[in-house]
Amino acid sequence: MNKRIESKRTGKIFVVILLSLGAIIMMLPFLWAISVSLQGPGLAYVTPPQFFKPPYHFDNYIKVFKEGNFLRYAANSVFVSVVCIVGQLFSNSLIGFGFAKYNFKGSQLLFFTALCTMMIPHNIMSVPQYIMWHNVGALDTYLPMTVKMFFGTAFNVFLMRQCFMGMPNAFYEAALLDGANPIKIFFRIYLPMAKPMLATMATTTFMGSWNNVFEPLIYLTSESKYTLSLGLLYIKGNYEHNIELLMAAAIIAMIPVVVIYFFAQKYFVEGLSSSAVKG
Amino acid sequence: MTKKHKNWGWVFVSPYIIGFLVFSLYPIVFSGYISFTDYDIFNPPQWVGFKNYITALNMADLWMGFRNVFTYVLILETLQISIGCILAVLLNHAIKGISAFRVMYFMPVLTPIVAVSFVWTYMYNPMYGVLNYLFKFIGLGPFKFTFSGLWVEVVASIAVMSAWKGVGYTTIYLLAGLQNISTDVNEAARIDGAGAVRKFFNITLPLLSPMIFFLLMKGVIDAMQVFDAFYVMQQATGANTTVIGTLIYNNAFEYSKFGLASAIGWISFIVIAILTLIQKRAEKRWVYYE
Repeated sequence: MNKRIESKRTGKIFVVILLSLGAIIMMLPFLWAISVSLQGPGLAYVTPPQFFKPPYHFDNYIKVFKEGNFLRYAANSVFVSVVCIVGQLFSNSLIGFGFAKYNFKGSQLLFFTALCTMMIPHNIMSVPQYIMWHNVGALDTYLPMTVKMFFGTAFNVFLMRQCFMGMPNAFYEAALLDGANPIKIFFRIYLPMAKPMLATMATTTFMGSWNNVFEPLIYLTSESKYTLSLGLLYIKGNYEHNIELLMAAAIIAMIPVVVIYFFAQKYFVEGLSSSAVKG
Repeated sequence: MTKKHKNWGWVFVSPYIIGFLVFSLYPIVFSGYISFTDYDIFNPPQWVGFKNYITALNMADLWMGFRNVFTYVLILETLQISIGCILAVLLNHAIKGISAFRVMYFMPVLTPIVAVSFVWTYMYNPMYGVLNYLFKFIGLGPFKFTFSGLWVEVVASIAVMSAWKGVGYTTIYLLAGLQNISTDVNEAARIDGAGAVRKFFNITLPLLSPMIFFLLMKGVIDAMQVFDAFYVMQQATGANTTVIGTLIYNNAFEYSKFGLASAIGWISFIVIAILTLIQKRAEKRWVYYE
């Protein structure tokens, strides 16, 4: 028996060593970027490469913020992301509730179409959607990126439906006897219970919107409207000989998503894995 | 639910119905239509029959695009699934601080591709990049990575970056799959005297195969449409590293050939559909359902 415990312990140490090695490889690009972002001008091109060698130039980060419209891009990204989150939370919870709690005629077929839309390649959709927004004169606005978020997206509808299906119907019947209407039942009783799933959805929506580069690229033409990802591509050329500033800009763009994930992590893994198993 | 309220279902799902008609059904039908027309957005579409499809199939770039994208998918999925499986098994241990490891492996998934591409392009730089410097210690290289004139080297370098960025995502799903495997099976194997490696190949992998299958199907569909990674990582080196995503982007949004771009989109859709069907046919050969 002792032997078994011992072998289990060496096994665990072995696992930790492997995981640490892997983690170093995974974190290397980030560490490298942070190291370079703190260097003085010119040092980024030195061989052998310098790793976290003082003096540290924290003012590189301040320089990036002062350069051009960087702050503006960040503010634009925040705005677009917040609108997308509001739209997604509102629409997907309503739609998911409808599919989960009402067995109306054609609901099965309608839900099946939702699953089908998940399989349509976005390569096909981007061209006609662009033409559509062109025809209503909404190019170079945030409408193409935000409006559709208020009408539900297939995967999130699916998640919300799963979530509401897991909640007992008895609450509904009870509330009805008390004279509540369906809207009230939804907002007062079921929606508060879905908070963990809503947190997951807010996080994934934020990630999707913050990291989105294709849509800003095709829809936005005025530089003052650029989101952070597009703005980064735009200012890339200015930093051709100041890699340390480019790295600082990249780190700044990464921070918000990492921070938000850190706080929402508990819900996030839960939501993802529960959907993955059933999906 | 209550019979009286049945029709409230329509009220709740009405945003979805509007969204489906406006943002899914109409664009698909319209895309099918304009793929048979000459359309530059400013003049009305001119019906041209199959001309766009014939033009597309005669484009060298289309075939180069498929060559590049197939290579990309092959490298990316091999790396992601194999490393993902190993990581999931390792992360499934009850060890103190395991959640810190999970966060670290998931970090690349979260970060914006544009920011990530700056870092990787700098690391890949053949002159002063850190990767060649590190590779020298283990006797590899020097490589030119994305700066190479060889298409394979460029595509492989981009695939490696994508694998780094996406493996955390694959791992989370595989971890969820692992946690669904009942402990009885593992216990039985242990009593029978199976070692860790044998257990992995004879028990864990077969029981995980449905999840691997799901990830492979989804991964191939997504990777076939890759745009971002190539758009932000490509250097002007003379190597043809077109992919279908950039080909559609260029034809539609650079040259205003919306009909041709749509035709290319539908051709790639057919290829993706065939690949998916092949995978589905092969499913019963290797996927194990309890």
